[in-house]
Amino acid sequence: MDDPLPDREQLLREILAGDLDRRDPRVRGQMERDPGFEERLAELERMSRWLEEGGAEQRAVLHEASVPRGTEGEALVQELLERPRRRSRWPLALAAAAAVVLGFLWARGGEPELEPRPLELAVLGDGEPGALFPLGEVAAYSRFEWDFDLPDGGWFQVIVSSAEDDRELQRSRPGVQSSWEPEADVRGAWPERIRWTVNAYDATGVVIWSDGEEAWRSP
Amino acid sequence: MGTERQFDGAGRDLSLLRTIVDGLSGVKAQLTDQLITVPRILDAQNARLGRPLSEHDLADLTQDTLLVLLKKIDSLAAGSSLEGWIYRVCCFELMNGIRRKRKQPMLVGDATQDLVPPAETEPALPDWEYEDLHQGLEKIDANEAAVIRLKYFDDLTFDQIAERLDVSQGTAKTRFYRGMLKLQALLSHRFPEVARGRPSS
Repeated sequence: MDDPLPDREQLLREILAGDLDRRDPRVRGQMERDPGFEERLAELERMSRWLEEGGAEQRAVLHEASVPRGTEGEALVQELLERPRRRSRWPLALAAAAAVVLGFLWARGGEPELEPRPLELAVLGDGEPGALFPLGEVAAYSRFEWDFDLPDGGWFQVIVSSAEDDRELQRSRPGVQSSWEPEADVRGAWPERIRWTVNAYDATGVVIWSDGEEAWRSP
Repeated sequence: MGTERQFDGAGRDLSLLRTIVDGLSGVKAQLTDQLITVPRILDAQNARLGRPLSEHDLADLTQDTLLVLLKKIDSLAAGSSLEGWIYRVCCFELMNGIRRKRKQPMLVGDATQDLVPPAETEPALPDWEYEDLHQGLEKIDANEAAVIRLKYFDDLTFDQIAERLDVSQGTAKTRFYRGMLKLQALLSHRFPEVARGRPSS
């Protein structure tokens, strides 16, 4: 029974998958025995090249899309993505911090403490999921803190930007601690008012959590 | 009100989008990090097609595309590339947007009225050369399409594809070959010689 199909298809599969090439004796033998084989192979290869071109186009477009293009649509998406972040909890947290400050002052009966960090940490740092510092008015940007449980292999990165014009000022080195202490000379060059974001990445580099706040130094 | 979809200004769907984006969590939240590429892909692809849509049209189309992506996120198969999926949705939506715009009647008083040639001399619709390829991949078996996409669009080796899909290399190659044959049959208009030369079994 003349049934060349299984061999023929198997050879085509192996050639297309890159396991064989036309110089292989099995391929040459098939070409001699089967006049339609070469034409079929040529067409499959033609389609394969077309797919490669389609793949190259996709990668080229995605590469272009990795760079900001400054379009109206891009501004729209940035607004969409930024707004929830800027809407963050800090007005509520500030109100809570203010209440604690007032209570603290009442208890002390003295001058306000110029370093608000311990007070804010008392409100935000003790067990509140996602608590962030610095937040609102602070004495210095000496330490950044947040609260998020990283998965295995994950990491954090902090991005500090100018609150005035969103210009990026500093990016922390990736780390696994839920805090970051920027160098004094670096943070000293920052403007009075900053916006900062902390991103949590999983082991594959995908952002799985992000939060941020606005803060400013005491005059 | 006409039945044609109009490009009628940015902001229309923004509140809906916000609601959806705010509600995303877990794996789906990964999509939000990629959303910024949507307008960029639309703009880059629009440029490749000779800029048939204006920047304002693209801003409207961005919202439509975001909605499509957010609604279809559940259809993204395991092992698939998120970037590649976003790219395909963007390209399909761009082509749909171009076709919708071509069908729109000229608005009276439109400032561009004198600049648009009469309908009979209107240039042909720009052609995204790979549109039928991607449509074909949507029609064949999803497992076979996944291997083809990972090989050609994500540029992975069969070793990497097998690992990504948690199958053996042999299975990956078999799916690949079967998918190629089905794709070839669907694209016979592009490959007429193949259709003629196919063996009868």
